[in-house]
Amino acid sequence: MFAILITGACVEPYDPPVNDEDVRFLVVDGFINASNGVASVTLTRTQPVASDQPPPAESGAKLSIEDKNGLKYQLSESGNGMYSGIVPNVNFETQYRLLITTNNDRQYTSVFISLQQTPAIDSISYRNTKDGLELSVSAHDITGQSKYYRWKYIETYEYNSDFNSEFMFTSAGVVDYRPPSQFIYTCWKTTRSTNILVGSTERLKESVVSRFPLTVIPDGAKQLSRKYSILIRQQTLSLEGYNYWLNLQKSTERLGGLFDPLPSEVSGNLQSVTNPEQTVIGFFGGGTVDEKRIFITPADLPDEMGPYNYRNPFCVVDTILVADLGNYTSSTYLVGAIYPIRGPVIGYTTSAKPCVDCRDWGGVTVKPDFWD
Amino acid sequence: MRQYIQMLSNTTAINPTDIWKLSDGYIKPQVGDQVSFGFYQYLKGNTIETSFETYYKNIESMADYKNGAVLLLNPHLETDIVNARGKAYGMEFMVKKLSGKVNGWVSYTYSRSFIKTKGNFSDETVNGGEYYASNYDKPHAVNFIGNYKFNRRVNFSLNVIYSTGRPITLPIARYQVDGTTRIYYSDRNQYRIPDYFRTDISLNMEGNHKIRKLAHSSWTLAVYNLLGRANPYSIYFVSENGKIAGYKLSIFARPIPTITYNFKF
Repeated sequence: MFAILITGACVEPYDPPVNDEDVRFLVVDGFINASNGVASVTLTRTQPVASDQPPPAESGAKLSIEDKNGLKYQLSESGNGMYSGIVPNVNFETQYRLLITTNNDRQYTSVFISLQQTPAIDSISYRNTKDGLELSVSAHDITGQSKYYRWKYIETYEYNSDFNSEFMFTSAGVVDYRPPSQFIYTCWKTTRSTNILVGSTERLKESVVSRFPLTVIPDGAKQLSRKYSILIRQQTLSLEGYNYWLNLQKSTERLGGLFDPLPSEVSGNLQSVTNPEQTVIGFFGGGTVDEKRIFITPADLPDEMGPYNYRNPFCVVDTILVADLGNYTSSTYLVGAIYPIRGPVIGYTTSAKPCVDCRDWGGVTVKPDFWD
Repeated sequence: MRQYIQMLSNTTAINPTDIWKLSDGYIKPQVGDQVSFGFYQYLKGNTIETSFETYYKNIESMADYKNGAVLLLNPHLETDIVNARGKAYGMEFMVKKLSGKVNGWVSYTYSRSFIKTKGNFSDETVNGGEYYASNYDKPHAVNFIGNYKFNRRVNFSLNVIYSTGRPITLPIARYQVDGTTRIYYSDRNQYRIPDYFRTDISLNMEGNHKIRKLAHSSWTLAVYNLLGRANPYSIYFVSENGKIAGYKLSIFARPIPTITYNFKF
């Protein structure tokens, strides 16, 4: 077999024989927050697999939430396919469904759903594993009603660039101290979970989630260099919701390998009223959400995890003499000043942008509100 | 017919893999009932044989995999398998010329094979519980083999094979949920890989026909896949830089000439 592959195999790109116009399915992502009655729905369209454009938003649709008694509450569009509205007196006894009329007059509806009460997150823990620092979540539900959970997280971390720029060119050839408002040494970067994280306690006697692993930060990563924070959102799912997200996870997070799950269509709990054959993708769910945030500094790390000491070998400093400053403009990044034993500044050190400007690594220089 | 071993295929990987699963406490043996009818006729003094056959087969307890099943190295494969019903029918038509300077045969087969998987849970129901084309459903197949004898020592043969491509489940669209790209797959086996078509030729030259000699030898010059058609071996998709790219793997996608020296003693 291997010999055959060597001698005569050839791999060519393959375009699925699918008409692009036939695959503009409606994609719905909807949720009613039972704590405040806010219903939010995002409508987009699917696009061909080979596309690298952002997904087209579905604007101009009319959405409403209907409860089992037939009362309807309109949602309004805040732009770009995002719709939201308030469902008054939202409660766990009533069932709700989502009604959609797109601007080409096609109607879609979800099945009636019950809102799920989410228990509180007990703790967020971390421990050293061979892959790095593993963060996990624990929770329990004494009523035993929450059997299926979904988690999302938002990570934020503080980091420094390799060199602290104390000086800057205010204009070509003119150097001054860098004002605090323009400091580019410390940045905060925020990323969201991209994988679907679902867990089930169905096979356990009690509804207890014990250290469900959510993410792993490699040892020595920038995340753990100064201060790291994670906000975890926990949400109880219905059985249908759990099956939907689990199927979606299985069929889309791994692909094409020998050991990977076989693909399957995953559509969700919505359907087209106008034409039941029409595919509509997505899930409409609801309930309360519990969230918890922790901070981790290098001092909190397990002893066996080394401190962050990575230095980019590409980052070196060079010198610009005062006499040569006229040749440079604000696109050159200065680090510090060079003084002789006595007398005024004779020159400045300089380095490349990625070594000086922390924003080059995707962060922002504005400290988040929750940071302490 | 009862069958106590069943095959499950993963056709979406770069190297399509078959798993054989024995019947056990969880997997029932497959039971098939088949009726067939055939008609045979010899023409022109038994030099041409024609045949026509048709069949219908009903299959119970066929093994089909659930949505999102993992087949390879799965320690509890039975939890990813559901019982399905199957049906297959078709007809075969063949003309065979047995002797003469020109001989050979041509056959055409029309055959269909369907499977229906309807379970109690959503992941045990495939394609809405309707019949769909099974992995073996290749409706049209044509085979031709022709030999021409130039003389007693030299003959030429031509071999042509055509069949419809097997069904495949394709990723047909991408979309985003929570800022992450997801893939939407077609119904199971909704599409087909490109058709298979191959032509081979060979020229066979025998040595002299002396009866008393050490070894009887012959030379064969042959070209496999004369037209160099890139017949698909597998079609698979991989995720590359956030894009889903499809690839077709062909084996022997160009003419392969061979020279063979045979001898027997």
